[in-house]
Amino acid sequence: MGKQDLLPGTLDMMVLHVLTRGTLHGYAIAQLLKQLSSDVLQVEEGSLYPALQRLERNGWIDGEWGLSANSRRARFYKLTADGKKHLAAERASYREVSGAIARVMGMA
Amino acid sequence: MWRRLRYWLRIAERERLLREEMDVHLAMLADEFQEDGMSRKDAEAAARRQFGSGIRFGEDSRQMWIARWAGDLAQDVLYAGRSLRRQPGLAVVAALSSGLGIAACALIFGVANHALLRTLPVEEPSCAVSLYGKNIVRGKSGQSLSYPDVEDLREARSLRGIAIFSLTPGTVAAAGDPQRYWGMVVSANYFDVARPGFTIGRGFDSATDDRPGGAPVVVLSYSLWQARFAGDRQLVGKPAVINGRKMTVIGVTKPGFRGTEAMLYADFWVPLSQEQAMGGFSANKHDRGSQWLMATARLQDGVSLAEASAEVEGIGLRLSSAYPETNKDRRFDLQVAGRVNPGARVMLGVFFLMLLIVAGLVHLTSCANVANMLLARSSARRREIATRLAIGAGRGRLVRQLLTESVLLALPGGLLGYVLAHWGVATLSLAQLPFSAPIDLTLALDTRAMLFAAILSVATGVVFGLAPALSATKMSLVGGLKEEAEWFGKSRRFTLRNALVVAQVAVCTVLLVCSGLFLRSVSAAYRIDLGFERNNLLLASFDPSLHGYTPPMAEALVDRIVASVEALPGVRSVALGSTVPLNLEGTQNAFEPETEDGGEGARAHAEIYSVSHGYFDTLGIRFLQGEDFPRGAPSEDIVIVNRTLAGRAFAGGNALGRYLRYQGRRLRIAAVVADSKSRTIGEDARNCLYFPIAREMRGSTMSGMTLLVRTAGEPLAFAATVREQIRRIDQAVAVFQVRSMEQQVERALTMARLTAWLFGLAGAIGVVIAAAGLTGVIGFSVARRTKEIGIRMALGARPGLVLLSILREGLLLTSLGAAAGLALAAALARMAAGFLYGISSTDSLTFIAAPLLLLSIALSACYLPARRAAQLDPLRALRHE
Repeated sequence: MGKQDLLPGTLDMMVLHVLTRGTLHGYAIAQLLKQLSSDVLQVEEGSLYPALQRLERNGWIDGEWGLSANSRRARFYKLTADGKKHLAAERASYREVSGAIARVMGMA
Repeated sequence: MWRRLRYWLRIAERERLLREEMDVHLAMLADEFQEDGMSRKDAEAAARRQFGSGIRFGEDSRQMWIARWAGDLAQDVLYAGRSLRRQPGLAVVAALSSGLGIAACALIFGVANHALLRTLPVEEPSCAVSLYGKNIVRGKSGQSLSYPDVEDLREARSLRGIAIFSLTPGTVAAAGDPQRYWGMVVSANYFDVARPGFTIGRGFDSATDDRPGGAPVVVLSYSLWQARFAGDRQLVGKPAVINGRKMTVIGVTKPGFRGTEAMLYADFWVPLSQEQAMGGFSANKHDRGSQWLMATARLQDGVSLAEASAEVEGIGLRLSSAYPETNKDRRFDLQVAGRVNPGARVMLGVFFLMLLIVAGLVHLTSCANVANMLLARSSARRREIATRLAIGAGRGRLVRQLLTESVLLALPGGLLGYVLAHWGVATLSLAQLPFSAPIDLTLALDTRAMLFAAILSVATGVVFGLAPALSATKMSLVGGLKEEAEWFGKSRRFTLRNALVVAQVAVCTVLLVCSGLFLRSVSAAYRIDLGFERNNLLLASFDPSLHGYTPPMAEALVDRIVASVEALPGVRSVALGSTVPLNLEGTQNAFEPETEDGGEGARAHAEIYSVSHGYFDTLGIRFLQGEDFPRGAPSEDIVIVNRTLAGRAFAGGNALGRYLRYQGRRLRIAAVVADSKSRTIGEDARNCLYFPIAREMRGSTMSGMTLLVRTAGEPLAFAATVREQIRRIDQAVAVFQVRSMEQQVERALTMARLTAWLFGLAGAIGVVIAAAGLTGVIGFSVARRTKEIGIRMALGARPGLVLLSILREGLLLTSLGAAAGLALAAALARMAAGFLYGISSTDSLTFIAAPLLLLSIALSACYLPARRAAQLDPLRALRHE
């Protein structure tokens, strides 16, 4: 099975979800996304940062500079309360849409 | 501005952080690849590959964080610059035409700004104020004050120190001929209040410099110091001779300081105690009714102008109840020092507004033309624009791009305009005014005027670019790409371009009608009967009171001067007047005619003249009844009146031998003379009272006394001789304003001629611009209709018919514009009626001739493209494109 591009609009949701695990920097987020999808989903890592900026601007995540494990200066992101609410909403609507798609495709 | 800058700085900072963050990410990725066994270089390359496209990142993040317009702006400017370089002709024409308009507007703005909003060159100008009297019944402010009123105003606690001053002329004898300058007699605290700063020396000291009988001292202006004393830095302590008296120079003010009143500028200052020596023109110090002083003061720290005004108003109210006989209708007024006298401000404001409207109209017509050129160009660029639209450029983005181009097009115009305005101001500063008041026209364009020109040129670019930009980007893509300009395109007759031409023609009509009215008015003014003979009359002014002459001494001097000039060959007669007609100034005073039974008739006002024997004969004013004053002082208190006064004040007009009362005197009317113009050519007949100057040999403060010389030939040929005669009698006496009566009349018409000239120039420029615009529009429409015309001709339409149909199009546009313009002009002319002599504001000749002229110019402007259309070869026309 080859690598798949993301469904549009799902990157934000997945980033928010990954951040429920704790405070992470961009590289770690990208790694986790890859691992969690068992290497199926290919995030173009360059597009991760605009997404992070967008999320931060909307107040869903908070970024702070800190030191990474191998002591590089990196920006660490954590989920805000607003972000959690937004994630829940996204999750619900995604479930609805994907369920509907599955039903249409006769998979459910 | 500052907020935007900070926003920008933050954006740059954000972008830097974002980049740093991504660099970390890249480094981490590369670390991982290196651990897998790649070389560092390969690992970095692989990391970049995996990270994705840098460009993509750039676009995304920029869209997110940088205000997009900023990045686009630079691009727009570059692109616009390139596209303009390809069309230098357009750029030059646009710069020239908008430059002219901007120059006119900036010039007038600069002059108005200087006259109305100048800041005084003194320390802390914001708390320097001028004090005026105002009459609440007549609603007039900006009047002078009486000495007792000023003393009472000193109670005002919101004011710190009130300095008083009064204008006075003085003859300054230094190297070369004696010359007449304007100065001020001032209270000793004047310089402590005005605080102009000194180039050398100091101002007056209240303790030492203002004692009656003290040693005479004088402070000079920088320009007088430069002009007459060669900028001698050792001048302090040396004497200067003013009005024949040696005065010790104690200081020279900083450049630019000419007193605290706008437009009334002084070149020297002497203490009030020397006022008698300066000619002693002032009235009784203790007379509350005689207002001869102007005043300036400083606001107390932390006191606002409004608070001080309120206090001063209160004092006025108190004085009006304490001294009702002099102060009943009188209050006081404060304003920032250095501004135009409030009495003149409204008039001046209206005047400038009118000028600004004219300049603005010319500017608008030139804008319309540039807009038209841009419209034509944008239709030539349809394909380019359509292509850009097709590949996804937003319409807003394109409009902005086009606007950038037009603003860029207007900026050189702004620069040119500013340079032209500068030049114009320099020329204006040299202008001579037709009267002798100390009014300074030295002008300068300051930063405010520069800013105005800059803003105006950007606004110009937007105004003339907006319509073309909007219309250029509103098109069907398919049509635009196929360049299939709707070739039966006369479906929309009234396009934007046509509207612009109509507007241009309307503006031109207004300008032409106005210039026609003023021109007709000037030529009518020359035909107006002045009531005196203007040819072969020389006028020369001098003022003996400025040279220490008391009236009796002056009489001897004047007698010698008259006798020596009379003896010159070619001189027919000589007379003397305190003032002469059309000096644009004068004195008005009240008098009461005496009724037949010895009672007092209704009070009236009259122009006051003091004249010598032979004045009426020399001027050519006829005696209707009675005879001239005798040579020398008459034994009886007599007066001569003009016909208008006789008719108005004495029922039946038989005034000869009757009496009138004037300032406590009872005067017998010795003669009645014909009417003549007194102050202006356009005026209705005024009451005039002529007193015998021999009774009190004194001229007017403003213009001294004037010698009238009736000559046998060209009067100006006698100018040098007359000057020489006076100099031989007393070489200290300054002779000024030697002119012929013809020149005097010309000068009296200066404003009218200037106005006519201004409108005429504006109208001429406007007509040229509009004609060019019309040719362009018609030419464009012919080009667009080439195919249609070809078909028509192929179907048998004769060339003459084609010609006519094209001409009809142009004529329609012109007529529409002319009609609109006539309506507008009629409204404007009604406003200007007060400035017109001898013709009505609906002068039919002007209102018929102006549009006819315009129509004929329009027809010839349309003829060229129309003939081209008529000469089309149908075959080639059909193959057109």
